[in-house]
Amino acid sequence: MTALLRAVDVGVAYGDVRVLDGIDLAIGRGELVALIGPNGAGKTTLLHAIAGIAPLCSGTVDIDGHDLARAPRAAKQAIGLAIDPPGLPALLTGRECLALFAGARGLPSIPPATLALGETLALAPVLDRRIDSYSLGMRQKLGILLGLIGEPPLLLLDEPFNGLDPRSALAFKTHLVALVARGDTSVLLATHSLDLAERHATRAVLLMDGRVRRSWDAVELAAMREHPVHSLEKAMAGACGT
Amino acid sequence: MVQVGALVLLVLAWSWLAVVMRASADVFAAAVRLLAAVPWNAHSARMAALRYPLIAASCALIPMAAGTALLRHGVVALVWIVCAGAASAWPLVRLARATRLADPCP
Repeated sequence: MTALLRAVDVGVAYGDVRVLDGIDLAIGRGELVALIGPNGAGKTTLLHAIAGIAPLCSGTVDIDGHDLARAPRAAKQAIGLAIDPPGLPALLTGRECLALFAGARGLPSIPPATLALGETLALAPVLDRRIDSYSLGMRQKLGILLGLIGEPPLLLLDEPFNGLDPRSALAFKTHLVALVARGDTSVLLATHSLDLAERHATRAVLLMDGRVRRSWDAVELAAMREHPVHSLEKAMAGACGT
Repeated sequence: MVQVGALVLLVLAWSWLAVVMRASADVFAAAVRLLAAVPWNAHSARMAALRYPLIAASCALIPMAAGTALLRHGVVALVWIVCAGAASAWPLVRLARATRLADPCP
C-alpha cells in the first residue's frame, strides 16, 4: 500500500512543553485511521503538525510524496483540515466562507459536491446567513465542508461529530465511509467516540502523553466487533493502565 | 471658517485611512490563520490584501486634496502624505509579514 502520509519522528513543543515526541505514523490510501487518547494527549496538535499549522521541532512529514517543510504548497494540496467552529469568521456568510476556501484552493467556484454535502447535512438553507447566527452544530458542519472542499485525498478531522444532530452525524459518517471505500481518500480522525473507531476505522492509534502508545489494526478491530467483551474501550483502558 | 473646514477634511481623511489600514491588517491576519492549512498562492493573496487599502487611500486623497485646496498651501499635502505614510507603515509591514510567514515557498 502506498503511503499517502508518512510522519517520521515528529516532535512539537510549545515553549518548554514537549507536546509530541517521536511520533511515527504512516497512512495508506483508503484508510480510516482513528486517533484516540485522553484529553491533552496531543491528538489535535498532531493534526495541526500534519497540516503545517504547528511547527515541528523534530522529524518530517511527507504527504503524497511532498515534504511539508520543503514543498508546503504541494503537500497542503493533498490535505483537507476541518476548521474548528470557534475559528470561523463570524462576519462572513457560510457561502462566502466556502467561496473563500474554494478560491484559495484555486477552484473557480464552490464545487457542486460540496454544496451537495451541505444539502445532505441540512446546511444549505442557512448558507446565506452570517456565521455569527449559526448554532454550534451548523458551525461544525460548515467547518467539515471547508475541510472537504476540493476533495483532497487526506482528510484531517478533529472531533467532527461534536455538536452534530444524530441525523447529520449518520449522514456524514455514511459519506466518510463511502469516500474511504472508494479507495482514493484517507481519513485521520481524532475522536473520543470509541464506538465509531471500532465500527468504521481500519486502524486505531492510541496517543498518550505525546507518544503513540499502541495501535490496533483492521483484524484486531474486526475481532473486537465480533466479541463485544473485548471492546476497544476496554483495550484502550488496558493500554492506558487504568 | 474655511480653514476649520479644511482642517476637518484633512483630519477625517487621515483618520479614515489609518482605521482602514489597521482593519485591513487585522482582517488579513485572521484570514491567514483561517487558511493556514490551505495551499493558497502568496502573490494572489498579497494582491487581494492590498486591494482595500489602495481603494481607501484613493478615497482619502479626495478630501485631502479638497482640504489642501481650501488652505492654499501645497506643503499641507506633503505633511498629510508623511502622516498617512506613518499611519500605514506598520499595517503594511504586518500584511507583508503575514503572507511571507504563511507561505515560505511562494
